[in-house]
Amino acid sequence: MPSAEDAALARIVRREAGLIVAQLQRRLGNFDIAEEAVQEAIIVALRTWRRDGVPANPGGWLSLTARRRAIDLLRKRAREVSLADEWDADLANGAGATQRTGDERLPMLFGCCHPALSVEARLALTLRAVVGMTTPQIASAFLVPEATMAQRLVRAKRKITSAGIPFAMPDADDLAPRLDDVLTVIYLSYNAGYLEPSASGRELSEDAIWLAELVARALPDQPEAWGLLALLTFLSSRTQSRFDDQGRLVLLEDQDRGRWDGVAISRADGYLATAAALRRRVGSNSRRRLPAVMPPPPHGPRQTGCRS
Amino acid sequence: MKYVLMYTNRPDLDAAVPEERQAEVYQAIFGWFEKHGAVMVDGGAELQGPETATSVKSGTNGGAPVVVDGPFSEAKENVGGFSIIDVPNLDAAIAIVKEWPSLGLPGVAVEIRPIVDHSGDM
Repeated sequence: MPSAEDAALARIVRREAGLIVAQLQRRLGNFDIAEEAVQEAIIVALRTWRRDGVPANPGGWLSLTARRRAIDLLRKRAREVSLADEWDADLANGAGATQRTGDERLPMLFGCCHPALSVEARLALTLRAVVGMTTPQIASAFLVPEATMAQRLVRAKRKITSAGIPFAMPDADDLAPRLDDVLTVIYLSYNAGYLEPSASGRELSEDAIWLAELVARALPDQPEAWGLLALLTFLSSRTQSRFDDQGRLVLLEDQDRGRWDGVAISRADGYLATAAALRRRVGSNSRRRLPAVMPPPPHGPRQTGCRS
Repeated sequence: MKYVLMYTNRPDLDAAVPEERQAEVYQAIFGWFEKHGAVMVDGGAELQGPETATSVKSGTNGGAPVVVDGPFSEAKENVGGFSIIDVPNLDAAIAIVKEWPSLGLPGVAVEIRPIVDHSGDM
């Protein structure tokens, strides 16, 4: 049973992982190696930080470990020996601390959510590469065996290479449908955690909200992004009242409104206002779902489309 | 990266398209090939209709191959032609293919398939 410390640890790791995958992918031009290297660094981090405590610069630690791993992986593929040597020299000179540019994750996120990949593949890749979840964690979130999820990831990465799927922001005229694909993946991720009363379910949902916020702040003129962030934040405001002590779902009209997170609700109101200001009507998806999840007026629950 | 484009259509749905519309699309296709000439490794070919096809299929139980009338697949979709393009990545291929004039007609699909790279083979 993972402890609260484990959860905090996992969260720190996850925040850093996506950045490092994106950077490595850009430098190596190889998503597969970048992603494998970071996965392995994550596993080592969780083990050693549990034992020795979190380092002062967790991002730097992860980045260094991942780069070493990437060099090893490159060496295994004989053709890349010279690149591996070049990197080794760089490392010895202490080159390249982790640079904080949230942007770098966005092209990778759009690549992971490319329409040429199946929806399942998009979900798995995003959670692994951008959010930094491990394969067993993702498998458990979607209720499939670990081997199945591992296969899914292998096939997805193979398709990226063989079909030439780029990790790049789409052109302006393509942005709307591609953003829709990204927001759908984020929503589906949130959903997978939503009905799971355990800690891992809450973490997945938190990660989805974190991702939604990342996208909204990176693309601040996109009402759909703010709309999704508003939606997920409204939903999360009722996390404490959604399940009873036995882990059973509590319907909206039966929930204890005293346990709703007022701070989250006002934040969500703000996001919604931002979305609305960007557009006369909020985007179609958000608009369809929002009336179902807005808190009912104080004098009593009105009929909503949402059960909880 | 080199990709084969396979232009497919639904002959059963084509029947309902008025002739002038078909002629219009056909004309637009010439324009499309001109516009994207720079990426065409091989303009490929327009194929005659599925009724002209002959297929040679594996024999049963490892027996001799069999010659049959018709396309390789019984599916409603028909391959009408193909081209080979060379573009930097899949998004570039998709951008070009989205402009394929026949996509304005029902039941049309263009498949984008990367070619196996044998350049590393000895």
